[in-house]
Amino acid sequence: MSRAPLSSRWRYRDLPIQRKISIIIVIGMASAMIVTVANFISFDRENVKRDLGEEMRVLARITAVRSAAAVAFGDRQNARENLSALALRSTIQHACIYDEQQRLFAFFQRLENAQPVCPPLLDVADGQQKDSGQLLEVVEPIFRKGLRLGYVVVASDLSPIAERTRKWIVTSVFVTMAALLVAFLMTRRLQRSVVQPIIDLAQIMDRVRGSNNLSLRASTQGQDEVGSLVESFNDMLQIIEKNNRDLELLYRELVGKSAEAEATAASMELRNQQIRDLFGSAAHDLRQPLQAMSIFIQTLGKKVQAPDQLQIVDKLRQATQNLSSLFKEILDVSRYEFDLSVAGTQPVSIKQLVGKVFLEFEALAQEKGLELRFHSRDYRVLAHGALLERIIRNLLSNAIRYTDSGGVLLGCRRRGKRLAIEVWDTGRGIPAQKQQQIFNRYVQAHDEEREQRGGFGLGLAIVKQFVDSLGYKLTLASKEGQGTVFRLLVPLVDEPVRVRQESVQPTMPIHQDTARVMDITLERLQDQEATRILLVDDNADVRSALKLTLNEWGFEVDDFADVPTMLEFYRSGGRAPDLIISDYELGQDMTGDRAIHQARTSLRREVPAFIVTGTEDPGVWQTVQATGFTVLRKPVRPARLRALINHLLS
Amino acid sequence: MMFSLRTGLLALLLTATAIAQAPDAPRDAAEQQVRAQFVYNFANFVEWPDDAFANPEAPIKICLFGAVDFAPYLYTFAGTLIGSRPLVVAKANEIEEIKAGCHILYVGWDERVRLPTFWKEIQYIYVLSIGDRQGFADKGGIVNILRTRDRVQFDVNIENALINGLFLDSDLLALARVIKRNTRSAP
Repeated sequence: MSRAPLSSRWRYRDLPIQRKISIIIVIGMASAMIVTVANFISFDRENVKRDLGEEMRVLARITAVRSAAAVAFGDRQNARENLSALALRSTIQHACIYDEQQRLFAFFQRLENAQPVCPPLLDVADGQQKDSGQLLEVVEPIFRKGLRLGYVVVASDLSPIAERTRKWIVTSVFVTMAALLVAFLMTRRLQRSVVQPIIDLAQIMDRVRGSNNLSLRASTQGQDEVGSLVESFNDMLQIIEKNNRDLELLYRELVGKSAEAEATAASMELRNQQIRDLFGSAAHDLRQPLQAMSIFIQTLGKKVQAPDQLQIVDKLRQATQNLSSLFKEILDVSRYEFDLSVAGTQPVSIKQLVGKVFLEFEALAQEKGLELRFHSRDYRVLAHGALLERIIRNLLSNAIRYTDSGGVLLGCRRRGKRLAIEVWDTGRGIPAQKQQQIFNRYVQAHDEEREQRGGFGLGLAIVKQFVDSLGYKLTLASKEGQGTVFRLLVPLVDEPVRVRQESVQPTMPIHQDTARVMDITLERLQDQEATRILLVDDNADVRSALKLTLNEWGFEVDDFADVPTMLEFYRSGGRAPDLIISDYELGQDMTGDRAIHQARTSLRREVPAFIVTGTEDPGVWQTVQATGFTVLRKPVRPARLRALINHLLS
Repeated sequence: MMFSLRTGLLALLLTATAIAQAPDAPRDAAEQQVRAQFVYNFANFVEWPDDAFANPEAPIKICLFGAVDFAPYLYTFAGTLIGSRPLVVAKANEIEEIKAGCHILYVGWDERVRLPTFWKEIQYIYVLSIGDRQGFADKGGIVNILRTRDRVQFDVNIENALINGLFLDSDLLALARVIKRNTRSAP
């Protein structure tokens, strides 16, 4: 241990607890024993020495008393005899008697032929005790009746003390070793009650860690600190186990739910896809006859003269229109849901956007004898243009639909960092109790009017859905019998461009009296009698219906089912058109935009053009829009078609 | 200590003068000195009962009867204290002089002819009688100082001592050459 104290101390930390406690006990006990034994031996030495001194003094005094007469009578022999009695005490090495003049009178020494050890003259005062290290010398005076007759000196060696000390040391060593052994053996058993629970605990911990089995428990054996430690550990394990179990249950439940949800989602997706496919194909198939129908009805309206028949045609047109818008509404829900997912916002000029919509509704309002007005500076908002357009379109459509007299106003004004787009009408208003439900699907303010006014209440639900998706805010204020205002809050991009409204779109005097606009439009139509339009569509029905309508509006139409025929026509000297209208899907590997390009190349002129499409496929729709041409969706409304043609030709 | 030193010096001095004054004396000075020392020592080692003294401070009286050659040496001890009692040395030539009472009676060699009647004449007790003639202790005396071949010794008649009411120290007895009893007086 003393050879390498540093390393052994270092190693001491790594020892098992039981061994540590044993070492502590052994060291503690050994040091206690050593101190005790050392103390005892030193005490014992003092005692023995004192006893020895006293014994020598007693012997010296006895000898002194006995030798008084001998000294007095000068009987040396008798004195020697007295001294030699001391030989019985083995530790006494020599003894001397001195007379009154301190001269040596008689002596005894154990080793007879050794040098005389008694000095001839005594130099020690009486009563003294001299300890020379090896010998203990005691001097006693010889008194008789108050007279000092001489001195006795007795000298003993210290061998008894050394002997005793040696004996004690040997005994102590054996006793200490025995005590340590007994203590070690005894405490070994006692230690177990302290150490064993800790060892057990450590083992349980190891097992828990190794096997990840939280149901294991350490056994408690007492109420001491170790006991409470074990209990705390068990409690902790229990808590962990419980939490683990709960977690596992929760996890399983979640996994189950997740799988369920996935399955549901998959089946839903499948269903959605099926529905979309169904819608897509159905819409494409339905659009064509519907388009044709509306054109035929219009043509029929012109051909019929009898008032009672005209009324029927009028009703027929109304029904067709309802059918068309209902159809459109239903299809829009699915289409815009897709748009929304791929939508990105960008700065949009509110004036341009509303201007486009406005044209459509101007005619519609006029038909009902309503005044439609638009009031705004050129604000730019951060929006998904198509969706915002759709929202405004819906709000306007609703306003016009539910207003029988008066007018509809579309106004924009700044509201901090946002633009409030407001649609006012002078309709019959929405009852307070209905105002909250109005955004639900299939809810209309006035149920009894559904049939009469068309629409199935999908409009506002769609609007609400878009508004929520885009993070806009739509509020509603209404007073029954007086009118309603819908207020849509859209984030602004920057300050409005401070330009006078008149100068923005001088060719589109939309802010002017709608009656006059209508007049002008009709005038223009008259003027454009000689205008030629190139129409490309592979569907014969649509082509003929469109051609009929355009003809009625006074346009000359050159229609082709495919591009080669068209190109052939112009190559052989056909009259160049002023406008190109092309269907988008023109059979295999031919699209509207390519047809237009080829026509323009052939004509060597940048003829204005737009595309008409009946596609329901969002992918195709996107591609069409990406061509850069204005696109109209089938079924094309005559008013819109007319407005666009006007716009492009001007 | 002081006292012992003084007596020692005195003894030496006296020894020297005695040798010078009496070169042809029957005993040499050293022996006389030893005899004087012996007598003095007996005063030390013999116990008298309290009845032998008038009071605790009463002196121990040594009577020298007849011719005593060491008397000058003995006188040097006169006045020394034995315990609490001073030592008194008195010389007597007539028997009347010692009738007043002695504690130690030394009978000189010249008075030995009177011995057979002597003990009848002194009828008091508590006397330690010392003599220096052959048979002194057998004839009523207690201590007989005698010279052996190389040294001065003494005999003791313990019976006579007891009769006289004296206690002899055991150590003293141990030094005696012979311890006697009165065989003839035994009935």
